[in-house]
Amino acid sequence: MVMKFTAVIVEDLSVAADVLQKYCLKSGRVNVIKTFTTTEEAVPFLSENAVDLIFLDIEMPGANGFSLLDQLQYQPQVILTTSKTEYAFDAFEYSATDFLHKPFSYARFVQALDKLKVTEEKKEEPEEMSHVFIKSDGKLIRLNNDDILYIESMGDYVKFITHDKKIISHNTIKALTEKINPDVFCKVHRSYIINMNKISDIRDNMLYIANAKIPVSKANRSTVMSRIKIV
Amino acid sequence: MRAISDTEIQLSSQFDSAFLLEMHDHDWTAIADIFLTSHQQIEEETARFTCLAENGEIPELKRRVHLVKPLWGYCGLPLYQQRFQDLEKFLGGNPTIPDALIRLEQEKPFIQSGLELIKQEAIKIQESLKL
Repeated sequence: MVMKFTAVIVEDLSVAADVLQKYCLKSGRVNVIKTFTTTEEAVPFLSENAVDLIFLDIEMPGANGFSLLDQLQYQPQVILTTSKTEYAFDAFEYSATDFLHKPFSYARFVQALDKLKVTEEKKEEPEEMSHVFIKSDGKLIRLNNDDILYIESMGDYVKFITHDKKIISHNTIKALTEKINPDVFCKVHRSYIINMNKISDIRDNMLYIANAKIPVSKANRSTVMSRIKIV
Repeated sequence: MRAISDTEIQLSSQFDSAFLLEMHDHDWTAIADIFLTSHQQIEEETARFTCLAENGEIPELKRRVHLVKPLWGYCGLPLYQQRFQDLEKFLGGNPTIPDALIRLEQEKPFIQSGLELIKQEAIKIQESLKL
């Protein structure tokens, strides 16, 4: 079973926050809902929005990372990220799950994720629904749902678009619609299936994912609109 | 921009290329971006070091050294990060203003060489991606 943790990143170094966010996305196990550069910004949000996990830098301008933990009424899991090693004792005192020394590799990041406790209440996503295997070039290639931006029809073939690659497979949009995870994907047009989590923008009958312009057909528009949260 | 294989770009031996490629999933565009962002931030921050030392703001100077320190690491330059770690430790000993200024003067050529390295490699990557 694959668990998806909701998380925030509290980090004053934008480069470090960006890399961490990429790692979270790549893992498919962490959904980063917000990033903060100071503890002062993070506390009000975290007081009103319980998260499973905080990636917390310790030394930041103003109050340090530990003061944030002191102010919360609940105990999320914490992975400390720092470029100092002197905080090991404090990390232990605050029951931090792990202590990542910046900069850290993706493999080390995954080790930290592996230490996270999985609570029983957490919604479980069956692993077989978290990814697909697609036939391409005589191989079966695994793609995590979270890596797929959208799928485009090319006649008797479809093209899976991710951030860094395009994979062509012999299949149809119609057949795929019945096989992919309906919680994540949505058919928006006879030629397109999109990952609902990747929409950046919707304008009239078009939606945008990573600079790609994707048409939404009249027939599918209400389905799409019913699945997005408008506040 | 076209796709580029790892063998087409060789970074200077001072860089931990294997670490960089793993961190950025072999994405050279992302590596060039991180070089440019880090270069700008290191340059801006280090330009303030002498002024802070002259004003006796040693704790603030130490904080800024700490902030910049991992950027060297994110650029794949662990030895430069270690050198900033040593500088941070030195400043933690609350040195006098003249001692802090002498130490910063000693660090200047090292900082300049690091910045130059990052800039040159960023340009090299960008040129390769354009080909």
